[in-house]
Amino acid sequence: MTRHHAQDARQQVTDLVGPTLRIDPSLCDGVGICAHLAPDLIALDSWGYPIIDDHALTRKRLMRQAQSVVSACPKKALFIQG
Amino acid sequence: MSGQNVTVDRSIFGGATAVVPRGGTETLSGVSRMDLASHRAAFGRRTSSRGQAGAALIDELAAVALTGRGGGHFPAAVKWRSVASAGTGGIVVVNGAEGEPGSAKDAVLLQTRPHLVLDGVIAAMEVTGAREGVVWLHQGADSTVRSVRSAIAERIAASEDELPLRVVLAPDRYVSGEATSIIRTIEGGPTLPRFVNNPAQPWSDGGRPILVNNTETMARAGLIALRGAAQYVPTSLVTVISRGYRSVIEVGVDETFGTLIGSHWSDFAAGEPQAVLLGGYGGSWVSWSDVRRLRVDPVALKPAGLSIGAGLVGPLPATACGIEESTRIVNYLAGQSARQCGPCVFGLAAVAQLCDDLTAGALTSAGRKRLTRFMGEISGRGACRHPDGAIRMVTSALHVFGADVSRHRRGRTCNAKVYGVMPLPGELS
Amino acid sequence: MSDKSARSAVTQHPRAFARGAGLVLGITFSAVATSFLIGTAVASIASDRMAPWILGRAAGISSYLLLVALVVMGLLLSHPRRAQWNRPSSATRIRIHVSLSVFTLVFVVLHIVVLATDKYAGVGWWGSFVPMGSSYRPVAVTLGVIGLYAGLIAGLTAAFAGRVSQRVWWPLHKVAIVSLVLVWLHGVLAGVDTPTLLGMYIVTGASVLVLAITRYVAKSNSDDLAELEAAQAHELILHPPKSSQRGSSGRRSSDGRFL
Repeated sequence: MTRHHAQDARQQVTDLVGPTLRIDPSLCDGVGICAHLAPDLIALDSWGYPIIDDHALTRKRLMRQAQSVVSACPKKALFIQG
Repeated sequence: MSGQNVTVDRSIFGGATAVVPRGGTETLSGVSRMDLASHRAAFGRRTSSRGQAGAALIDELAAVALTGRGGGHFPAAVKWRSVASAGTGGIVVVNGAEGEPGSAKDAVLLQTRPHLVLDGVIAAMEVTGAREGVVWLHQGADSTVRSVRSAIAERIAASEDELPLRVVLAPDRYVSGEATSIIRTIEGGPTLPRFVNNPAQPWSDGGRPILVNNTETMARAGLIALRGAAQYVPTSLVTVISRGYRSVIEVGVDETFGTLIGSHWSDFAAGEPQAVLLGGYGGSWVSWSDVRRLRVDPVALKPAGLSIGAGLVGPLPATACGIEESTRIVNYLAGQSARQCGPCVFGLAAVAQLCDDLTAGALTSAGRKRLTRFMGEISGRGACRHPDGAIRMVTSALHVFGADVSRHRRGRTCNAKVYGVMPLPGELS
Repeated sequence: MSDKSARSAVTQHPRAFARGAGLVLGITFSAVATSFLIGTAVASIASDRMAPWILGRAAGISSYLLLVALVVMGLLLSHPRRAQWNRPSSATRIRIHVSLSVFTLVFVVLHIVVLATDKYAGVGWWGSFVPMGSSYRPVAVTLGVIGLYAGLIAGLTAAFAGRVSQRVWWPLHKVAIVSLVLVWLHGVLAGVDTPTLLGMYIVTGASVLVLAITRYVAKSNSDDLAELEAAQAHELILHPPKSSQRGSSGRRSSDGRFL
């Protein structure tokens, strides 16, 4: 329930304020290039897996970083929603 | 079972309590199996749920606020509506692969009331225009498989159903019971959870619509399809873990955990429990003083930040140690990771290791800080809710068993006399 | 919960300005330190006709050692046991890896420029970039030339990942190990001082070899996942199979696996 609610809430936020960077955690292998390419959006957790800022990509610089990590991720784990 | 209006003819078990062993799920006593004839005699015959009647049935599910009893408590009507509107030719799955090792309610249902569950499945197929029904079970659940198999044979012999039912056996592991594991298998993938971006459509784009509901949810839908919402009594099926056995009980929403545990927990005569593990192994520990007055009602539990989850009620005797018990469980849960998401694979292993240290009296203050940091890093970061549940359980343990934490942290032995209260698969009971 | 932790973790991260300032300071400091060291070395051998030769070899050995450190850090970054190591943090490991690549490149450029311009060395610009173009130990120099190209492919595709090279950077990144093997052979075969440095070549080469073996051979999480994926769900064949007469539309494989 909490998960569905979180996703519903996120969907509503996305609808309101714009696109966000998302991840399919089951595809991610913790390569780490995303944190290097998008330091304003992604931090790495204690095991080297990305923690993603799910704020809307309102500024141009953030959108550019998001687009570059989406195309650089060798596991295709990242995507932009909205 | 006092002060509630569960009557024999309207409830699922008619006030009886099923007894199940600690290991294994064959129903030993209390509730006997209803074959098709006795089921029809007790519950009657269902009318068709096609077309307008289908929309009416969904409205009835919404009217009684039926939620998913596998643990998520997602509104059933919302799910049914989204599958129904996705077009015909879909698949309806009843999930009988109870992920929770402590819970036995779904096994008992399928062993004693299989036709109630199958009536729910057939009704869901009619409502959603599905072409196939699937009963999803664990490979090792022999008694359940036998009962379902006989039930389908009984229905075929009686020429009851127009729609085909199939039985699929899943690998015996925790994540086989995840809805996305089922959908992924049906779509040709491995039996492992996957990430769902749009919860309203858990199946793949362009694929057949798939409705997955837990066994108890489906039985309740069957009950509503048979009797109508007006006759529906909102009860919950719970599994109470006792020393040598487990009890599956149908509980009305007026009953408190105090009276439930008082009348169904084998150790109660020796003293009140210190706390109760509520919902499942990925649920929450609640102290006895907090839980005893709460009602066994999914709606009433919500404001307290609790959930009946998969219906597990695990009382912990005062002679046991909550930290020892939680460490055993988190090690089990870490081992049951589907090994797909980094925070689950490495995070749960790290948390389990630190819990081992805590139990052994070897947790340093740096270790304690790491434990807190790790738990904050894991929640909400898996494709399924498995890691979130494990973290919820550990978080509640550190809170509820604060005294045990400080006892273990001083390197002293705790005063536990009882170990291994909660049953784990593969352990001898 | 996810929202909160995600946001706080990222906002704890230094902001763009702080990072930019740190980068500029770091580069300035490194440049000053490097110029000082090279200047001192050049001054001490300036009168010597062999000066470029000595400097070229020194730069070569430095770039070899930097390349070893670079590859070691890369292997640690992708090692199956990396999640168990707490320090340095993953983010720091990546920063070290990237910095090492820059330093390696700087010393390789120095190595090439010095030896290509040294008229006594017998390598020249042609020999520095074209296989078998060197009159001095052509095979040995060629190994270095190909190693250079392999290293450049690994480094440049990663540097431009997300822009031009899309996802190809990742498979190409693994040619870095080929680069190291070639450069190792280049060092051993082209260097006149190899007998003196043989111990260094053996120790560094063996270390990388051991690390690479544990990186690629050790049982990893994906092996565990493959085992889980191999455990399949099966359809129970019901008797009598009347349902199939009713035109069940699901596909069924011969072994009864549910599809």
